[in-house]
Amino acid sequence: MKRQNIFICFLMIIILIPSVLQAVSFQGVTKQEVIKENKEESKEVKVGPQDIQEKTSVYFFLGWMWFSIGILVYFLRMKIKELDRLTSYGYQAGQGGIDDKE
Amino acid sequence: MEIKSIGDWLDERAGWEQILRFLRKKEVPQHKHTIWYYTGSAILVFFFIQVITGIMLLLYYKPTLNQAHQSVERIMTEVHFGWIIRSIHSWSATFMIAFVFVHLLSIWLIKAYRKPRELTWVSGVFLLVVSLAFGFTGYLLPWDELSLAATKVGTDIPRTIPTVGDWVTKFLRGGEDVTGETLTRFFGFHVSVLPLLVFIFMAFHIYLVQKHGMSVPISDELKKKKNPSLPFWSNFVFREMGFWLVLIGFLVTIAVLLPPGLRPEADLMAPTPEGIKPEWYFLFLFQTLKLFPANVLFMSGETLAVLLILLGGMLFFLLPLIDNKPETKKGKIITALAYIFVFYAVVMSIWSLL
Repeated sequence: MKRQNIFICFLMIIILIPSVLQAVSFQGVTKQEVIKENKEESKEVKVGPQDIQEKTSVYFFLGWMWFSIGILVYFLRMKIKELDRLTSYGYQAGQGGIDDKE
Repeated sequence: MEIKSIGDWLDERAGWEQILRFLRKKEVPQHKHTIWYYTGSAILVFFFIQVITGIMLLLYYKPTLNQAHQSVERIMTEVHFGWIIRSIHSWSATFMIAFVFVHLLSIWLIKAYRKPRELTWVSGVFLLVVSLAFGFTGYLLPWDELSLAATKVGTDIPRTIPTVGDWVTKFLRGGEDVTGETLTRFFGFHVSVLPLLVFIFMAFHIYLVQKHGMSVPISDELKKKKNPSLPFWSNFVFREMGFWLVLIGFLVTIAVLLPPGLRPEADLMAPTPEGIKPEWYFLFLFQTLKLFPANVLFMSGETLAVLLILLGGMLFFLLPLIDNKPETKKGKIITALAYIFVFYAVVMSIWSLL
């Protein structure tokens, strides 16, 4: 990985740290308050998947999504390699390149 | 009807072949800073996600004092996938603003705001301000105790500005205090005024980027050898698409695992709860305000802090006029200021959370 890429990843992580910290702390407070509220007013406020079945389906969905992204990125990479090869030969999209196949 | 004939029909009327021809001719320079180019389109992706999820939330949200909180609660508990739509909306705002910061910082570091791209920088800073305004107005909409308190603090800050401050606060609140009027007003800004401004500035910004082409860092421009380039369509677009997919993956994962909660409904008569904090992108400003003493010489500390922040913002906005040296000079002080700003903002934000 190039130095620039590492720097950008680092920057993004640094910038997102306060946000994630805030979300995590807020989530904790909310859950406590929901429990308290439930006791006082027997009012149910659900945030996110509640039971094990919902949680399983959410994790299954996330797994499926990342698997699909992996496949799509793989095909995109192949397509990019092909396009770069054609560009190096002087072909361009719209000038008899692969995008003009009919 | 065949696809080709539909294309011909459209081209005859809209002339979209010209746009495609332009995109095919457009070239993206390849150098060690090329990765920064991806941040611009990432902002667009998150903005469109926000528009789509925002419209979905709009179907159920009710912007009135008595119904706002209940409607958000309903979205989170009764509406199918409502919690995840709200979570994606909220997290995509976070991602979008993070990328706006990174994008502007990249321009700052590679000095891409210099002639002839001054207006591109100015429109970019406007887009940052509008994005922050989106975040600020959207924060109140759930109408919970935290959002009410944070809005009270946030809308009270302009009051310290001499002459116009009082008017600005009243304009934002729709009166003396934060009430149902403020909620309706913020909702109006959030769903109509700000999107309109974003579309105008974004269109202008994208037009300027197309007109001037992508900026090449000075170090590469000084090289006698011409930089290699890549056709925008479709070599670069496909690379961007891969990046978008990974970003969307991260967005959905975080949105599912860390959905934003909903605190008890706002009570206008209740005292301000302890430990109120604004959204993460305002934390460093919030902490800066807290650091100032009550009085500094002849004026209040808060007024001085707000004036200094406004001055900083103005200098940031006018950066192309301040650093207008010929492109051969690197402006090391400007680079150092960028690093100092990032360090300061991160330290202040983390300090504010501790």
